[in-house]
Amino acid sequence: MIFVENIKQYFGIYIGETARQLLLQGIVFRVHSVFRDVVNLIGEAEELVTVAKLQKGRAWYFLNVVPEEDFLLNVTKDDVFYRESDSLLSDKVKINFKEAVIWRGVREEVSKEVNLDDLKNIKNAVLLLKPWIAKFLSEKKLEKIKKLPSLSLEEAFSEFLGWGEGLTPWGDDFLTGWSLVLALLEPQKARKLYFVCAPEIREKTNLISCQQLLSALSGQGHEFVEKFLLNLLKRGIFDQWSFERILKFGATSGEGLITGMYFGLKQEERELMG
Amino acid sequence: MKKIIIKPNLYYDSVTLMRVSQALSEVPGVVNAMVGMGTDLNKDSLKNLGLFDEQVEKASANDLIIGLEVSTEEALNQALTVLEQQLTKKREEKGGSEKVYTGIEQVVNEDPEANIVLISVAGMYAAREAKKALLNGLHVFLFSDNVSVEEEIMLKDLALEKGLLMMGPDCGTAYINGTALGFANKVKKGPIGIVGASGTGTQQVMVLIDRFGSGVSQVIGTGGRDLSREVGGRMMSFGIKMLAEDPETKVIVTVSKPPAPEVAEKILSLLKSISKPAVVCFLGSDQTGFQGNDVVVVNNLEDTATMAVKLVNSKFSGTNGDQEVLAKIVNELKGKLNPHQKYLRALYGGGSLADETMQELLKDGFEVFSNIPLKPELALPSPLESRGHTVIDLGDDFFTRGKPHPMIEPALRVPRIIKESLDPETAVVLMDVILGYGCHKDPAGVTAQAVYDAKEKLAKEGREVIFIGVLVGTEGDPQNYQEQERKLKDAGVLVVNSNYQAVKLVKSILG
Repeated sequence: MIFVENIKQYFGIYIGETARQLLLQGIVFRVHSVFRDVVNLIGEAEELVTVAKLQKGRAWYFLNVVPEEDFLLNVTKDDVFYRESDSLLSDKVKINFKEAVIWRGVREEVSKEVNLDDLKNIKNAVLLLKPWIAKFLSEKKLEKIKKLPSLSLEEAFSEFLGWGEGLTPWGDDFLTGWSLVLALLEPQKARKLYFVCAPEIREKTNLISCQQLLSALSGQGHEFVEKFLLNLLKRGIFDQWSFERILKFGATSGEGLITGMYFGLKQEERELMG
Repeated sequence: MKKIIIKPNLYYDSVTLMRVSQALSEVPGVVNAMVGMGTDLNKDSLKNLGLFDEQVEKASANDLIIGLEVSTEEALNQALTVLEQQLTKKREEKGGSEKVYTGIEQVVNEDPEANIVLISVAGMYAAREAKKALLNGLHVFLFSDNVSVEEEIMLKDLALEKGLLMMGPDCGTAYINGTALGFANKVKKGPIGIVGASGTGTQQVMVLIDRFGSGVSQVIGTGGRDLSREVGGRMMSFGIKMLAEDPETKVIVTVSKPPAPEVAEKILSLLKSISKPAVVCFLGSDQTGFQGNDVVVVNNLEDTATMAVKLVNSKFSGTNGDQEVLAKIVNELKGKLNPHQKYLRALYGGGSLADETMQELLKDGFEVFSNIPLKPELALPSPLESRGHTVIDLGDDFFTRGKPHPMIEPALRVPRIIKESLDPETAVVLMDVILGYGCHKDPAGVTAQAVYDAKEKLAKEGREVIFIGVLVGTEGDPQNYQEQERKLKDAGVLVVNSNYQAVKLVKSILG
């Protein structure tokens, strides 16, 4: 029996809809990885819930908690978490998510079919991002990117999945950025790609990348990424605040995401221009 | 790329190390950073981060360990520069490494110049530690609560016998010789001395004095129970006497709820016997006005600050905020409410501000429900559910049991802000945002996010709610007042610097 009075308590402030659904199912989770500001929990069927500090922003599969000082400090890999009532419990911590506000993204309707303004915005977005992309691409990455024009979407996925190093390999981050653009501008195409590529995504990537990528194809991105993209496309604004925060994702994850968005937008631009 | 550095026999406290880790993690290209003493717990954390090797394993709890994972050589160099800056800064600020003491006696022996101790331990140990400190000739600021009245009287009598300050128990705010204790704001030095039995009430008065162009000599806290019949204003009286003797203090201010009548009489008599002018704030009291030539009783926090500054500077006009502009805004906002939206929902971190709001609304006939009600019949059946006009003190024990205080962790208020905003009967959501030492580093940012979310949800329902924020802070506070104000305003919050002004706005919207 766990005596919760003796364990450190945390409180959920925001909970992404995906995380909420998973927690309500009563899945047992184990700790997959521990970082300074986030702890990844994996369910029995490899479902992902990320417990994060507020400053990490919100996402569909995030549970943002306070206090941020001593954030889940004594949680270690493979600790087991299970739901009891409105809390997530381990033998070291209790995370009460009863009052957490549900977060369902910042997405608005954006369709390339609306009018030419969207093409204008896509062109503008490409122009705004372009100066950064050269900075993000090493020779090795550039070589990889050069193959893109000759590949179909499915082939591009095969080519980039799991490519590179890191918790989320650069290729996966790249595809996540691309997928978000696709899901936003051509949701049907993204849905089709989801069903075609999901088995390969599950096979070739790690758990975190897989969750990120499948969410992106469903149009679900991280708060900062969704905001950045919507500001670019809807308002033609380069949202510096969100951009800087995206760049802080992992070592190169942010760069990968933005590069993926850029090439996704370029592809849309090409298609729109015939 | 990973880098592990061990600095043998170099101690820093955990709060400092957390700040250093935070600064390092903000360096571009730093993937993970952890700085900690070589405890087993920290070693486990380093292991989890993949920052573990033989030298970490060998390190002892007296050794400082720095673990870094970076993406480039450049990031590593920058991180090492930041590390040195942070660690040196701390040493420079403190004039040497911080020390860990095993008890108050050791402090007295090794640091004979120390003359005040801040005690924040569990209530059952608080009186014992405070007594030890007093017996060793130290003034005490006792942050802890859950100390019995009998113990409080014993401690205060002991302090008086030794000519020492016994601030507390449950003392929230003091500002002694320019040093903040507990929750306090950075204010200009000046001729007004304050003795306060109310934490946030005292903070509100301090910041308004600063805003009105004057300054503060000393702020002495007493703890909220000092003016009860049992304790009899022991520390308020002593504080007043100290300020009377302080050559820097020209005007004395006291801040409290209305005390027991005999205690009020005692305080007023004492002030009348002193040759310095005084402003007495009995929050919500009916009996206001001059008590003799130099003692004036007021019943709200803004009047307290205004009157104190007027006593120092007769030319001070005493106006706060542009009333015409506010009236115009209010008219605009009123037009956005539908007929069903008729209630105030106030969510306070500061209990005294909540109290002031209820007192002011009560005067105008508003029936206000609360978890700290002015009358028993106005008590909320559940503090979690509002009804009619509601004022909630989120710093009350009901909300803080096992949780951080909302002034330390304002995010805990976010769900309630959204919930109240979405109630179809809510017209105004009123919140305090308190800056200063001891408070959260970005309370406005956290609050603004909640307002954005609430507004987004309200927009979908085709409604608007008026958000009013009371920003209690000064330009000198560590959070950056202007930045905090901008965050609130950007989110569409009507920002005022005084709770009294906020209540006036509420009255004109709902009245």
